[in-house]
Amino acid sequence: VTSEGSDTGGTPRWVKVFGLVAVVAVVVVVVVLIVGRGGHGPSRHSRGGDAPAGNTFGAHTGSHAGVAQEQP
Amino acid sequence: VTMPPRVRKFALTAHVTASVGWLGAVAAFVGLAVVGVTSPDPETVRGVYLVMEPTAWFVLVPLALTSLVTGLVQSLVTAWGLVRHYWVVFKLLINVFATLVLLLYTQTLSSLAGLAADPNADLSAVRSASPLIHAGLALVLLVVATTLAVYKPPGLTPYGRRQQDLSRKATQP
Repeated sequence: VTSEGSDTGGTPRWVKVFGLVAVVAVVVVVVVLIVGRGGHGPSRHSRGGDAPAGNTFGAHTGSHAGVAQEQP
Repeated sequence: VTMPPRVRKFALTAHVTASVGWLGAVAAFVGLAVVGVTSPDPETVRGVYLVMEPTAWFVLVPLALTSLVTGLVQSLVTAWGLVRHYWVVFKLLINVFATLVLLLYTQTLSSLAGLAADPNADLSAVRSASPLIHAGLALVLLVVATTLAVYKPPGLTPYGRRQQDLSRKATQP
């Protein structure tokens, strides 16, 4: 371990920062889970579920977009 | 618990290999997820979501569990302990949290693989940003854990301080 002084003092600042970040992250996750209830988790991807109609990273409207074009 | 130096080095090597391997595998998973949401080729997109599930089960989960178990062994056989130092506690929490989320997320990956395997499923329903978000956050967490392991920032927990006081009293004449 490093210097004795660091280990014998109170709670280090980095621990407080990490703890705060962890608490905020947990709160955010809980809020996301509550707000998006039914929209998060495996059920979201099941057929007939509320799967998104398109993707935000660039939906394809070209010749490859449809299922019909995928099948031989 | 004491261990011969040779065994201790082997245990440390196993822990570092599993932990860094997990980090690398998650980075590769992020790459796959990027391809999944950006590729214009439907077969490539379906292939990405099909391969994610076995990748999780055969690579990510074994590495995560190995990292967790070897980390616990490290805490038992070294002076760092499990709850004496804050950096070890944070690493443990990160490891347990990431492993639990990964195990739960295999259900989502199974659903995504099912959709990708269904030729009647629309490509827009197959594509999902969820793996990218989850793998991206996992990558951040594992980088933080690796940084903690390398820097080992000082700071004893209340339990660690008590243990230190006890050992000091025991060594004093």
